[in-house]
Amino acid sequence: MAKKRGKLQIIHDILSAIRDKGGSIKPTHLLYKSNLSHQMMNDYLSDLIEKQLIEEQSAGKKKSKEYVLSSRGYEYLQEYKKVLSFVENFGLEED
Amino acid sequence: MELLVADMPWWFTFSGIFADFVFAFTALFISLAAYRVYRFTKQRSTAFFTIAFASMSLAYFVQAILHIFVLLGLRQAQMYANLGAAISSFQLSVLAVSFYIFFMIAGVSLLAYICLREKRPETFALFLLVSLVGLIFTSYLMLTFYLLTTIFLSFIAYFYYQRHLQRKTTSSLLIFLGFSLLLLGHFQLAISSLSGWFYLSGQFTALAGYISLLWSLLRVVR
Repeated sequence: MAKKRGKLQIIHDILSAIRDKGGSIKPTHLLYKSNLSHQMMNDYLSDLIEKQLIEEQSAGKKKSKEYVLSSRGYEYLQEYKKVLSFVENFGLEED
Repeated sequence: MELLVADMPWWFTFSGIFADFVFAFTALFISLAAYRVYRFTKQRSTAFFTIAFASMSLAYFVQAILHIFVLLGLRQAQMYANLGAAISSFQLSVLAVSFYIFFMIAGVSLLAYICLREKRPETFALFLLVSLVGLIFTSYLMLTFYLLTTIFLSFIAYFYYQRHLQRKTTSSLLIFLGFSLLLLGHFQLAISSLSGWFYLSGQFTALAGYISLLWSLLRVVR
């Protein structure tokens, strides 16, 4: 059975999914890639928008919603290992 | 202990000031690293960790700088038989001790609050208020202060001991060792009234503790 993901891991997985799709992704694609329930994904997306790691935009003729990785989001992905290491080593994980 | 006496050996005085600056910069470095992490995670625990080490860093900086002024004032008093300079030095020294105690207790109690995984702010307020009331009304200020920090550090060290048992990595060992040495250092400082050598060994033990924490941090951020 797969180990339960921590919050930082889930954020990393969401941001990685957006990066791997060229920097922007539709909600349905993200739901599939992130392996989260719809409610949980929306909670995380609100959190990420608040932290300015992603932005919500309308794109295309039909003005469909898309999530775009911000520069801070790219920075998070680069620094992720160090951030995770610091949090885990100093016991700063939060539920 | 914190009040510098004019006829103390110069190496004793300067080693104390040097140690304070090392402690201050180490705590500041840890605080800045934690703040960098907080910028990404926006986690409450990381914010508190940043503030705790910033508070401890400020305590050491203030103490070191004010002790330099005290030393200069005492030298002037000694050279020119200046009573005014001697009294000003005493007042500065009292100010240094008060700042040091407040910011250290705030920092260490906040660390203990984080380690106990407490969510209610009332718990931290309780730690801080009980400590400050005890310090204000005690007749043995420095003994009470170091005993309080020893108690807080024992909970912190135990938390990191349990984490090391779970993780069993070099970094977790260094962090546990760091806080254990700080605990031992503060305990030696608490009993330094028995012998001045405990003051010296306490400072060196605390220095070893901060070096261990710094080393673990460098392993993490590299």
